[in-house]
Amino acid sequence: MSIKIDSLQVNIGEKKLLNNIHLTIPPDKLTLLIGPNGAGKSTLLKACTGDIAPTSGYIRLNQQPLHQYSAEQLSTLRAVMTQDYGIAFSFTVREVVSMGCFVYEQQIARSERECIVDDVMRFMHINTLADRQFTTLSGGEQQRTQLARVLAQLWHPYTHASPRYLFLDEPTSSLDIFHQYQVLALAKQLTQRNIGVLAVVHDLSLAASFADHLVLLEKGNIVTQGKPADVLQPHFLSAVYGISAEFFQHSEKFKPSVIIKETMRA
Amino acid sequence: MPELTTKSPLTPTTFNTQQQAIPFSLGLLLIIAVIALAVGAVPIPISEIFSNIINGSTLENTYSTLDNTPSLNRIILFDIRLPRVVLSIFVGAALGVCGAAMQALFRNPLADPGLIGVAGGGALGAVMVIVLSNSLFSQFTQTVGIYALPLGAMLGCLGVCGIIYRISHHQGHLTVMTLLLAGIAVNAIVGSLIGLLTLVSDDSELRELTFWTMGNLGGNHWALTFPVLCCIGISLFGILRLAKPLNIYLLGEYQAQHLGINVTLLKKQVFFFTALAVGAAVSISGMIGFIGFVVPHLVRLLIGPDHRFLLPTSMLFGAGLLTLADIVARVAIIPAELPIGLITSAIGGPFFLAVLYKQAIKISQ
Repeated sequence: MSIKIDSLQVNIGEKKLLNNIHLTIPPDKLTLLIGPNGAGKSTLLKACTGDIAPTSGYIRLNQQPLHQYSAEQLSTLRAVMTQDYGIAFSFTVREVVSMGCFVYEQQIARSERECIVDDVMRFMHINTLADRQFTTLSGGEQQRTQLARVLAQLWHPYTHASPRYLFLDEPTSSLDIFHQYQVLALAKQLTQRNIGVLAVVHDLSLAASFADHLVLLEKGNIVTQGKPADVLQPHFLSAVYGISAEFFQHSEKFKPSVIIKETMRA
Repeated sequence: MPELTTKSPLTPTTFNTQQQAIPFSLGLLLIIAVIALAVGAVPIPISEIFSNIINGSTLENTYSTLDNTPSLNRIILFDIRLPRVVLSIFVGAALGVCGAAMQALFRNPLADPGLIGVAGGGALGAVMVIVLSNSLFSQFTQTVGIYALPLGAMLGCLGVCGIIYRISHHQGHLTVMTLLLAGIAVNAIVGSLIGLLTLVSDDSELRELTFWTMGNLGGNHWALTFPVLCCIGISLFGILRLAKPLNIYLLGEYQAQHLGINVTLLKKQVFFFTALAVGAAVSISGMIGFIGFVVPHLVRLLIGPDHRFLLPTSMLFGAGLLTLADIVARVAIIPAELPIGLITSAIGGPFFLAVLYKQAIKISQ
């Protein structure tokens, strides 16, 4: 049981956004997508969530074709955090996070839902902001609020027999360094609860530190995929990003990182 | 780590305001309704209203007094004032709820039901009946009798809403942006058609259609009112059930979809129920501006955007405000009446400005 992507192709008009993608997202792994701007990372993620229909090829979620699921069925199997999340009206942080409980609202008592909301807000360190209006928050605080909402969706049942999935499109783009590492550490924890995580990140060191499986995309193709140490090789980095850089780990005590010698492209 | 387990779900103030808004607005509506039954060209004492309603609440009883001649007050109460008050409550409720639903659908606090063509379509239908009833539509007017004007307005509403719907509907999806732009374009076309008909109308027709566009709740007996009440009742029930999905929808269309909401179906339901409710309201009362826009806006400022509270409170508050406006319309220049559309704008406008001003002061502090 996993998400299996087979010969996936996505076109918009004449333009090929994704080409011949083969990828498996297992429920016990943190899979990270990296690649330069416009490589097709978000498109791949949106295809997996069902927001974009494939032009050709297949996506199977737990062995069933993705398009055969209803929105309601999918909502119990996966949660999604998108890049843009404008909220038109002034909901409080607690109200926004509570919306994540919509999926199982009928199944559990109000007090239990409140506990879940408290839990995830504490997790994302936004419990002190609970009664603030979402629109008055800083970018990072808004992002953490949305993350808390997405987590709430997967908080009940806490563990599930059939695998579930979490999709995060640049979840760390507005976060400070502490919260960047915290969010990915949390994503990694989720994989122990039978939740497969697919996330887009830009920071290569962050990717090196956390990915179980790293996928490098360029111009709609997968250049290489595998363990971070194998993917973040100098020849791949120079070919895709135009940087001269290396995968580096000081010792077991330190997280690995990508160190840059120089940028080659103007 | 701060201890949070004993914390109440919302701050006491927000929670209490939301909880109290519905009973408060309901109480306000009831008081206004009783006053509306009491005042008018012939004042009826409140004690008499209550004894009439408690003792003989059906129309048949009105005529079965001992001497077989019903008191004048009873006739005024049951045949004139009660239908009017009930109508104003339903029309106000429809405008309030549909305004809130439209603002959610467009995810924009400036939206109002007019955007999907209900007002313009209704006006076009009504103007066609008024101006062409003696020529082109004489057959129609003769067949349906007193129903000609409301029926024409309702058909105009549904026709124009239908056109706007068809334009914005592609491959099973209803695109909100197209809906907005199509609404503006179709409303402009409808406006020019109305202008054209105005041009060929004579003086009395011109007067009638001018007054129609300013709204009027009077002169409708139960036979005319009842179908309207049914349409509005069904729609209100339908929209109130959508409160939770509409909350989630405000997160964004994709986000709502990810949380398991059939967004396309939700949008279609909001569109349909709004067209039906406001179409029915407009068909009998003419154009009553401002309530659909200002009431939900005002309620949202007071209790926040949660539709579980916003929709019922907007409904009750809209009903109360329109009934209040109708009292003013009836008593301001007895024995004549003011068009109610003028009053809603005259009361609602300054009230809204006062609230905005207060908000601005609050923010700047």
